[in-house]
Order: sequence, then C-alpha cells, then structure tokens
Amino acid sequence: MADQLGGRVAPRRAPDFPREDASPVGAGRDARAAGTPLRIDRTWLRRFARRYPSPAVAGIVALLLILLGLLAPWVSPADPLRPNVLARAQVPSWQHWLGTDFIGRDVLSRIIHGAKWSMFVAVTSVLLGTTVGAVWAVASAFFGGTFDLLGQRLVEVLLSFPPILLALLLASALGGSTWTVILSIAATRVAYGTRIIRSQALAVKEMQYVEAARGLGSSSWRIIFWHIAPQCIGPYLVLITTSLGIAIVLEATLGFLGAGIPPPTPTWGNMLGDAASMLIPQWHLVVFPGAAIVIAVLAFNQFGDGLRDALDPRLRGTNL
Amino acid sequence: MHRWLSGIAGLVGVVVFLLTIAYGPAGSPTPTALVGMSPAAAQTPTAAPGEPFYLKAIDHDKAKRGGTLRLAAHGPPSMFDIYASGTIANVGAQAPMYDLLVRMDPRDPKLPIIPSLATSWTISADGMTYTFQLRKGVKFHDGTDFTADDVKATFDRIVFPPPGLISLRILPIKETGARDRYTVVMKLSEPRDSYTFLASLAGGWNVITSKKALDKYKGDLRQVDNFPGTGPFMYKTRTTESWEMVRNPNYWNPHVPYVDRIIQVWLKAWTPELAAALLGNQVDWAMWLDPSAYQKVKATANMSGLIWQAPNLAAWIGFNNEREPFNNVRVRRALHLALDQDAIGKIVQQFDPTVQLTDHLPPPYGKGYEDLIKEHPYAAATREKAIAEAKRLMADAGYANGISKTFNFVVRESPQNRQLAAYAQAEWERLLGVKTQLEVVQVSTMVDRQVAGTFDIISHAACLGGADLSATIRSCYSINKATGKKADSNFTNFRNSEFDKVLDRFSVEVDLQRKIQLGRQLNQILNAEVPATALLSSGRAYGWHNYVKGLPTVGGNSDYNTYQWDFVWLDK
Amino acid sequence: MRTYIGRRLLLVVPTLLGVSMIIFVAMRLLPGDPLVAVFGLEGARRLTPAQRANLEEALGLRDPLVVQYGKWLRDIGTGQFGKSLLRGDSVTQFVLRRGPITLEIAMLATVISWVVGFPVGIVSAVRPRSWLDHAGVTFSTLFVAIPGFWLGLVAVLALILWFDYKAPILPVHPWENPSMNLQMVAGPALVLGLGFGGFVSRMVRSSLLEVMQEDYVRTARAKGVREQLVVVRHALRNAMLPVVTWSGLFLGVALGGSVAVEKAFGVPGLGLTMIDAILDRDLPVVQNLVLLYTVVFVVINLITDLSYAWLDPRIRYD
Repeated sequence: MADQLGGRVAPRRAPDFPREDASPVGAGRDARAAGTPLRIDRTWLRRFARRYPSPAVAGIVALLLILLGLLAPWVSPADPLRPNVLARAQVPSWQHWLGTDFIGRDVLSRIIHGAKWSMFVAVTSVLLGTTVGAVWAVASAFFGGTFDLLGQRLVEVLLSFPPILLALLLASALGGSTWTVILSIAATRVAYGTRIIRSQALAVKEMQYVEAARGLGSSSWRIIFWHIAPQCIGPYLVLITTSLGIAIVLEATLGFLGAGIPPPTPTWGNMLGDAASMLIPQWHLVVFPGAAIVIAVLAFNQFGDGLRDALDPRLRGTNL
Repeated sequence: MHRWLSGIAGLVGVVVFLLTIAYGPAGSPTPTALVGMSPAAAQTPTAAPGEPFYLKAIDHDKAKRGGTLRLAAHGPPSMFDIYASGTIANVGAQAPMYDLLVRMDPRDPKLPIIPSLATSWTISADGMTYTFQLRKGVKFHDGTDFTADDVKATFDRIVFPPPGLISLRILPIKETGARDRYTVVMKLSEPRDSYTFLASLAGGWNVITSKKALDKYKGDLRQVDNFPGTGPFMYKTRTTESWEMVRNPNYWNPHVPYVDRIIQVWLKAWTPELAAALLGNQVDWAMWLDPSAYQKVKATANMSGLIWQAPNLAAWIGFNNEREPFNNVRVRRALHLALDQDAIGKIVQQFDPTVQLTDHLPPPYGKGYEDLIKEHPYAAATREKAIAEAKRLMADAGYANGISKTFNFVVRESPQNRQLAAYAQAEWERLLGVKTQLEVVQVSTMVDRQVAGTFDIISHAACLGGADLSATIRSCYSINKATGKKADSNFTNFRNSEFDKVLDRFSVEVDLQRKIQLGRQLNQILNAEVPATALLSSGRAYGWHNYVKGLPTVGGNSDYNTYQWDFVWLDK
Repeated sequence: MRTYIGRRLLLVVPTLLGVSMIIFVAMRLLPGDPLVAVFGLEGARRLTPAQRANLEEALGLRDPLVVQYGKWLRDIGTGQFGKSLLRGDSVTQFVLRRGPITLEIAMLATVISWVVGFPVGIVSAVRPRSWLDHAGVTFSTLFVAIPGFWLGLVAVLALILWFDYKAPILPVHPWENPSMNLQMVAGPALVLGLGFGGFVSRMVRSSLLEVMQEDYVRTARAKGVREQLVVVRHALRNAMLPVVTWSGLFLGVALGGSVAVEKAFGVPGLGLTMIDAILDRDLPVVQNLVLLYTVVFVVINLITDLSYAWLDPRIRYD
C-alpha cells in the first residue's frame, strides 16, 4: 500500500521559519562557526531515542537488517545457490529451518541473502532517485525561470504514472538485471523528491539571511552549498527513510510479476513469484519471504515516521 | 506498557495465523507410461460395402443428447489462418467447425486411422500414389457442396502456399488431383510408410475448406475467423473471453454430435486460473494442468484425469554446437554428465506433471523411462561415477581447471525453465568450473536469438513433433535441403553428415523392422554427439468432470488430432 | 479561482503528451519480435526475410519512429485503440469487458477503506493512549507495511487449504450474476481496502487530534456541548477534508496500482491484462492500456487538486 501514494505536497499553512536545531546533521550557526556545514550530533540521537522509543527500536531493527544483509555470506547456514534435488520443496525441518525451494535450496539462506539484495536495491535506488531529485529541486528552485517551469512539467509527467506501472514498464523495456531494476525504482522516486525539496528550497531562498548573503556578494554556489542545501538535509533524510519501505515493496512486486532481477539471485519478490506459479502454492515458500518483507517495511516505515516527526512534522501527509 | 502489549499481541496473532496454515501437498505425481505413436499398419475400414463408416461415441446406446460443453482452451488465436499456424490456439479452437480427410480415432489410444471426409482409400504397389473416395452429399456450412476440388484446393494451399503466405505443414505430396467429383489422387514426392503418411494427413491443422473460400481470400485466412467448414459445429459468437459454437443440424454423420453447444474459454496453460476454472466448475474439461491441480483432480471424487505424452523431441538445454568450446564433443558430454538427468525431470515435474526423463528419440528408437532409469538410477554411486567421468573429459579437452569465460545462457521465460536453468548453472559451476550467466527472455525474443545463433546455451527452444517423425527429426537436427542451411528448429546448430545420410534412409524406409534399426542408429549418434542435454519429454495433463462421457481414460486425446468434440456427451 | 482552474486544465495537455512519449519510447525499447505474438514460435522461425519485411510493413513497424508516434496519436484521436497482436481482439473490447471489474474493485476498496479506517481512526483519536488507540495504531502501521499482493497470496492459500475454495475466474459483471461477481471482487477489494484503510485511520487520527485542539472545539466543549456532538459536528467535518481528497487519489492509484493484487488473485481485470501484455510484448495493448491508466490518474489528480483548492481557499499554489 505504501508504494503508491505520496508526493502530493499541499502544505496547510505557509512555511514557518525553519528550526535550526531540527536536524541531527547540525546546520546553521553552530556549523558555520565550526567551519563545516555539517556535523553529526550525538545528543540529538539520545534525545530522539527517548522521545520516540518505538521508532528508535524500529531503527535498530532496520540497522540489524542491513547488517544481516551485509554479513549474509557469513550468517547464512547454507549456500543459497546450491541445489539439492533430493530435498526439494520440503517444509520446515531441523535441517532446513524454513524449508527448501523447488530445487532444494535452503529457504532461510535465501531469505538472508535476499535481505542483502533487497536492501541493496532499495537503498541504492532510493539514494539515486532522491538525490537526483533533490539536486534537480535545489537547482530548479534557485535558478527558476524556464528551467524551473519545464522541469516542473517533467515532474508532473513522471507523477502521472502509478509507480508500479512506471517501474514495470522501464524494467521490461530495459531488460532484467540488477541495475535496470535499480534504475526503474529510482525513476519513480525522483519526482517525489523533487516536489518536497523544491518547496523547502524555495522557502529558504526567500529568507533574510540569504538575501543578506547575496547582498554581500556571495556567489551562487556558496549560497546553495552553505545556506540552501543544509536546510534541505532534513526533508531529504526523511524522504529517504520513508521511501525505503516503498522501494522494498516495489522491488518485491517487480520480482513477483517476473520483471525483476533474473535467477538465480534470491530476492524476496523472486521467491514469491516462483511460489505463486501453481494452483496450491507451498505455504512455506509464500509465508516466509512475505513475512521478511513485512518486517523490513515496518521497520523502515516506523523509523522514517519517527524521524519525520522529530525533524519536521510539517512533512506529515506528504509521502505517507 | 499497554502499547507494547497490544503491539505484541497483534504480532503474535499474525504469526499464529500464518503458522497454522496446513502443509501443502508434497511430492509430485508420476506420469503414466509413455503412450507413443506406434507405426502400425494403416487400417482400411471394415464397414459393410456401400455403407460408409460413421463415428459414434463409445457407449452410443446410452448417450444422452443436448447440453453445453464448456472447454478450457489455450488461446485465443492471434489470427485464424490455421494452415499458417503451429499452435494449439488455432487447432484447438477452430477444429470443431471442420473435418479432415482422414482422421485418427479419438476413442482408441492406439490412434488407428479412420475415414472422415474420405470413405475409403487405396494405395499403389510402390506406395507413392493414394486414391481417396470421398463422401457424397456433404455440404459446407455456407451451403456449397463438398467435392474433390475442395480437397485439391486445400492441399495445394497447404503444400504449395501462395507467395507471401506460409504453411507450417511438411507433407511429402508432389501433386494432388481431382480425378472426378468424388475421387482424389495424391502422388507422394518420396516414399513413406502408409501409417506415417496417413497420420500426417490426419494432422489437426489439415482441415478441409472450400475452394470458393480459398479463392475468395486468395489463401490468406488470417482475418477470417469463420471460413467455411463441414464440421459438426458451426460458428456462433466470439468474444475476448470465449468462442461459442452450435451443433450443425445438417452434419453428414447423423449420429453425432451429441451436445448442442460448445463454449471454449481462453485460459493459459499451467496457470492457477486454469485449474481454478476446472475445479470451480466453470469449465467441464481442461488440459495443461499444473501438478497440484492435477493431483487435486485425481483426488476429487467425481473428476478424472489423465496424462498423455506428446511426440515432441526431448531436448531442453541446447548447446550452440558452433561456438567454442561447445564444438568439442568432450565438453558437451562432460556438461551432460554433470547434470543428474533424472533429477532434472523431477524438478520440472513440480510444475508440469507430464515431464519425465527420456532418450533423444522416443521408443522404439530410443529407450523408455523405465529402461533409462536403470542406467541413470537416482542413487549416489552412479552419480559419482558420472561426475568423475565428466571431470576426466574436461581435463582431456584441456579444461581441467574450469573455463574462465562466463557463458551466456538464454532461458525462455517459464517457471520450470527458471528452476531448471538455475540448477544447471549451479551444478556446472560447482562441479566443472564452468560459469554461465542466465538471461531470461520472453518467447518473442527467443526467435531472434535462436535464428541468429547469438547464445552459448539456450533453454528451451522446443522441437515440436507431429505424425511424421522423420520430418520432425530433420527439422530439429538436420539441414534444410532447399537452402542447405540449418533447418528451422535446429537450435543447436547440429551438423553431422553421417546423421543426415541415415536420416535420409530412415525417412523413406517402409519396412518396419529396418526402420526401427535405422531409427536406433540415429538415436545412438545423438547420444554420442550430445548436441543438447536435459532430455525431457512432456505432454499434457488433462482433467474433466465425470459427467463428460465418451473420453478415453488412457491415452487418446492425442496431439491435436481429435478436437472435434463430436464423440462426447454430457450425462447431466 | 477561474484562472487557477484554467491554468490547471491547460497544464494537462503537455503532461499527457509527455506521458505518451515516455510510453512510446519504452515500448520501442522492449526487446522481442512482435511477429512471434502473431505466428507463434515455430511460425515466426519459418518466415523468410522477405515475408518478415512484408508483415512488419503491414503492422507499421518499419516506419521511422516519429511517424509511428504520430500515427499512434492520430489513431487515439480518432478512437481506434488498436488490436492485440496476440489475441485478435481490440483493446476497446478488453476495456469494455474487463474494465468494469477493475473499476468495481477500486471503488469497493475505497469504500472498505473508509468503513474500516474511519471508526478505527476516530476511536484512536477520542481515546488517545488507551489500549484501543494502541491496537488501532498497530493495525494501521501493520497494514500499511504489508504488500497487497502478498496478503492476497496468503488469503488465496488459506481459502484453498481450509475451505477448498477458489473464487470464480471468468469475468462476470454485477448485472450478470451479482453473487459470482461479488465473490470475484471481494478478495482484491478487501486487500486493497485494508491497506488503504490503515492509511486512512492514521490520517483521521492525526487530523482529528489536531483539530480537537483548535479554539472552536474548546469553545464548544466549554459551552457544555456533549463530547460526541463535538466530535461529529465540529471536529470530524474539518478533519475529513484531507481524507476525502486522498481517497480520490487512492481511487486513481487503485486502478493502476492494483495490478499485482489482480495477479495474486487471478482476477480477470485490466491490471492482469496489462501485465500479461507487457510480458508477452503485445505492443498495441500495452501502449493503449498504460496510456488509459495514466490518463485516468491524471484526470483524478486534476479533480482532486481542483476540489481541494475549492474547499480550502488557503491552497492556491502553482
């Protein structure tokens, strides 16, 4: 469900003065005094964990999942690609805790490696899409004029596609491989990022201190880098964490429909797609990959929501 | 505290729900014994003189009349020129509206030839000329009379398609002539044993249509969904979901058909939707069931199922015999031995219950499953020997440490191909150090790749059979005589001049014993040369409700030959 | 206001043109031989180069890309929505036969999401931090996270294994056989509806909570108005605004985004048709169906934006 809505920015009030302590990546006066535009703030993390315990736990789960994916080759009990036809399609047992698939590969190992692939695809595509969108948004807001006008039309066009349709179209057109799946999902994230970051950047552009900087003769690049960009980090981070869940579901949907990463790569979506090809699917091949998806999406969603509430509650209702 | 409790309670509830889902059906069904096409002698009908042969249902005296038969059909067809088609989507859907010249008896698993529009025939001494006597008083659905001219026009369209049109049938006919109004003479271009020739005439695509229609459309029937036929059913309506036909009240066979209407519903093979439609009683009969559906049908009290093996040639993973290192027979043999061939059959059986390990050619030319299984028993000891042999062969060929290049393995999209290719890939890398990269493509891309030869390994390009086995073998493993290039379905680029010579003799051999000898020789050459591996036969898994009567319960329902539905009745 | 409407309407045209261009380019990039769709694998293999050239010419596949694009737009303009390569049926027939089912699913899903989401959200908001609230929040976060197609798969599995039941497969319209039709659409509608219901309940909860702190609600309470009346009369009406507009969006999204759910249930809607067409490389069907979906999406977005702007005069943004 989370994958389809979002990007409909409709601020209920005109934007306020942005809070300068509103980000774990410190911006504003302290940062400039320290000589760098960015600085990680540990006390902020502690305050976050105390005020939002549930999202904090979710954040830890999310981190654990990422860790699981990174350590997959060492953590998984068996080779996820090694077939054993004698032991095919077995329900969970002591040898195979989550059972085996159609050619006898261990499902638990495949789910662990699936975490690696799903995380990799989700993180890469979200980073790629949101960053491209953010850079475009800042440039669009700053330079304005025809560039902005045309750019916003392109964003409209991209937003007119239901995300799964756009991803499916691109993934089929470009052929099935890891990078085309990443590109397809990233393409669906670009437009959402642009909308939100652009309105934030526009708001900052009108600030008095930016006008002052301009009056003092700062070059465009300085203004973008030192003033506008830091204020956009908050929404950018929120966008990324809330988009991760959507990206995981998109990748799973692509895999389920058969347009995802080609075999033998284990992704949660591929496993569901394989399982669903007959009238009565094997229950362990349906339940476990799906549960993995739910846990991952829950964790990322909860963490993202908490982060958004902490950083900037005005973003609520923008990207689910 | 409450927050945690309710959250945990919710999660526990979900987990309990999921875990209480019962275990699914395990194991896979064993296919029934192979029912191949035996080259039996042709049967001249033994009806009393002056009384032509009429097909009737198996228990004709108890048969009820009336009702609507709903069939699951793999379709719809994309165009309606049945002569240009190679798919069941045409022959299944359109056949009830037409008749063949001669026909295979749909009630008998041995598929003897029975009269249809031809009432009797004689064969010349040298076996090169067939004279058919045609049924009198038959009319097409548009009212025109059926005569020898229509037969001639049809077979001219089939054997000598007009320029710009194609025909997929390979019939060894040099000339078809209408001697008089109800006599047709066919001259063969090369010798054939009589059963093979008549069986190929009885192929379901060789429906007889009128000369008038062929002239009117200049042989191009692609957009004509209703070109005239003489068949037991007539066109009623066609929608995006189904095709409806009604009983022909003026059919030349007064005993049939028994049902009033047939509705063919488009449902794709092996899909859950197909199974659901059959089990949910939205169709009465279906084929191409997936294993879990087939098991369910067999386990259901008032339903029946049967498995039939198609006469296709078995080769699911083909090597590009023209590319390094697959041009080296040692490498091909090694790759073949590294795979547990019976295991491969069992993998695919999870998706298609009809699949099993087979030889390159069907029995009697190759070995059947029971004999093969003794050679490749599914036991560790023999596997170890095979793997050792494979490693030795690779070392002989100079690849003791594997091959550094990663090969391109083109895989046709389907659930079974995905699993099969993943298994082959993993075993080849683990055992022989041969690395491949899987590329899953849609059917439409297969043609480009196969024709252009832009692959190292390919699966599953398919080599579909018909009544004339020699034509199939030629198409799969030999050259196109006219162009000298590889034949249409020779997706492995296999070329072997000794094989071609034996094949030439095999095609024209009319003596059964000698034919079997030659066929066995062909099989041995293929086994030695190993142009392809993963030798699996496949067929169809059928299911129907028991109120559909008249269907044979063993074999029968053969390859595209019997779908006129005139011998079936409903006990409702 | 009028200029705003005018501007928004005008912007739809370049948007749709851009959409059509993206679809067209993606379709031309799709690898595969469209003649296989027509003749089958064996048939396409047997074609000589001359025959192939003729057939492609007849299908219009040999024209330069710009010409093909122009012809496509012209065909749409004159109401010819193409014929399937694989099936010889026209796209219009598909839409007429299967479209109502997808539409039904989308509408039913929206209704279910309200029926489920509103009560849960309201209860959560009027009893914050109670166990009801926590249960409601758990429900909504859970259902937002569960992929619809997986829920569908599990539901189908459970129904078959426990009740030996599989929903009807052939398209049946509500005016033909209401009970069979209901059986067919209930599953996908429920799954989609629950997913969006989670979202709705969260929105109702948060906007109710916000509204309930407004001055006029405090005034009503001070005046002694009953709590129920306060909630329903004053708070709810204002809180409903974003939910209603989001539901409009959801309708459009459900039409397109329910493709995976349709596949999981095997329901013969337009979504399933589109997936099959994409995987079969049935170009005319894909082009025109995807365009249809995006047009519907754009139109619904347009209506939503306009109604939002009309309902809340503070919103007039460009």
